Amino acid sequence: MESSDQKTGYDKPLPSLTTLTKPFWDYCSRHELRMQFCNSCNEWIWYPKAWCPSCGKRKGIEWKPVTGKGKVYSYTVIRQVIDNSPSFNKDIPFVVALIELEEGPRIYSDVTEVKPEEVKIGDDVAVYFDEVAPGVSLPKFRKRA
Amino acid sequence: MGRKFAIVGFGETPVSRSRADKGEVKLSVQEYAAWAAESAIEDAGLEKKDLDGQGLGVTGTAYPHAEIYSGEVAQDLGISSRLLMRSDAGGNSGASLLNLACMAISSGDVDMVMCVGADTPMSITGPGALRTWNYEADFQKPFGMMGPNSQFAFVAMRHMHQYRTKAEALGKIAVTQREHAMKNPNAYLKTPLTMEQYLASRMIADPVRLFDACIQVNGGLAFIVTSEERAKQFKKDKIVWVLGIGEADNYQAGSMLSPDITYLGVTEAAKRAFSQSGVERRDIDFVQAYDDYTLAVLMQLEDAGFCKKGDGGSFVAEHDLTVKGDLPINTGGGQLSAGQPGMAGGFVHIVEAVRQLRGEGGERQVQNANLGLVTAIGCLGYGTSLVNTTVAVLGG
Repeated sequence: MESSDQKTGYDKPLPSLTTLTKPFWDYCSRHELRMQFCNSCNEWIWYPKAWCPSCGKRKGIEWKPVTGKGKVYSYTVIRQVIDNSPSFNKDIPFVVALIELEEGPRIYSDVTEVKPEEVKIGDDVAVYFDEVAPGVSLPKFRKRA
Repeated sequence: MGRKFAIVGFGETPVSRSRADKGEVKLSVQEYAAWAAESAIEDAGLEKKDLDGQGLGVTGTAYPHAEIYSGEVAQDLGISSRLLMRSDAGGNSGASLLNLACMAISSGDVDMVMCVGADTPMSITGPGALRTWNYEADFQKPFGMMGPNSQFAFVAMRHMHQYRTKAEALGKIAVTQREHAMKNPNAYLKTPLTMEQYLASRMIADPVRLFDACIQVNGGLAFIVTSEERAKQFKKDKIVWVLGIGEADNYQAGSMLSPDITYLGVTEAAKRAFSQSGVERRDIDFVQAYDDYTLAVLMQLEDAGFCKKGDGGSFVAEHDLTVKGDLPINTGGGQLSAGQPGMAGGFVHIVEAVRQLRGEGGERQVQNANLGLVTAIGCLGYGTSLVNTTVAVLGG
């Protein structure tokens, strides 16, 4: 985890950009949601992995676009922060959901612009990008009609 | 299992939350490890030197330690082992070490293994608390996930949605375990807990309430495993048999993108433990189920086969889970009320099972306890439930 960004004042945890994860975040910076796809066995891969966990092949994996549309598979309302994440204190209560994308992968992300009691399992959501720091745009979600 | 294995001694230290205002002690992890080991060795009627040339198993600690850790514990204890094992399976570490101990003994290269779990999570300060999985650091924390409470909340929310599991079922587990803790001199939380208090307890990460979550403590536990042959040298009333044990890691999720997160690998681990032991579910006198959260207990009852998947809520409502009931659970109060000594938390269930099967449960003794089940889970995964699972059938 990288330390908070001095210039922007963003003080929440940031992901580390490694050879494995950087492509994902680079696409996010361009407001594109892409995930790994294994052309050997036609399976999506998420979170980023160094081989296809389905067939065990390293070759034939490409970063493919997903629609960014999905449904809430499960969620929680964060009402208490833990010691090492005080920066989220000003946001509580807020919703983090496990979103099942149309293509199949499930991604944890925030569902924003909504009251916690208005979120339920099965809700339709769509991605947008929140540019929080140089090189890091977090893919977040909001409800769609 | 062709051969049987015996647990011939255990140790358990008092627990503490290092609360100076309550006069609670603040000990180091080394002191807890030594205290637990000494108690287990004395309980078994052994000397420390008997463990030289044998196996030693240790857990990690939530409190920061070196990556090369088991060698430090071996030095601290002054034990020259022939096999040194460390389990990093979180809540499953105790049961996973028991499994490894049985495997090591069946190789014939050692005939005793001492497993030691000690941790001081209440003493964590600073960046040590930040060590975690890459998937959590990179793909959970930036979105405001708050560690285990929030990670487990997704499993609980989905279970309650999919099977209409009621908060009252979870409350019954919390209340029952508190009753047990009140009969356990070594439990941390011993004030009565009512269903009303449970339901009124504050939400931490919906649907996980304060009283759904275990309470962390500093403490240490240990147990000693030996072969069927070597067990003959130990006092009969100290021997508890491992009749069957099965482990299943990353089983329910496997390589799947979209697993049903309401399942645990306990489904598979239980199948093997029961089939090895030849014991039926109906013959089990009590269950010690890993209780980081109330709903985890309910899921383990389902996945161990005591009821159909999804019927856990009604199963809990219909059965008396107290030590006087038809299926007593977590008879010492478990981690919810007795306390979770960090990475040693999974030892609590094994030690309590052994105590019950030796008839040493005191006020909380289950009458005619001959067969007990221990179920263990650890490592909250990304987009799944818990990754490491083990089930053991123990007999007195």
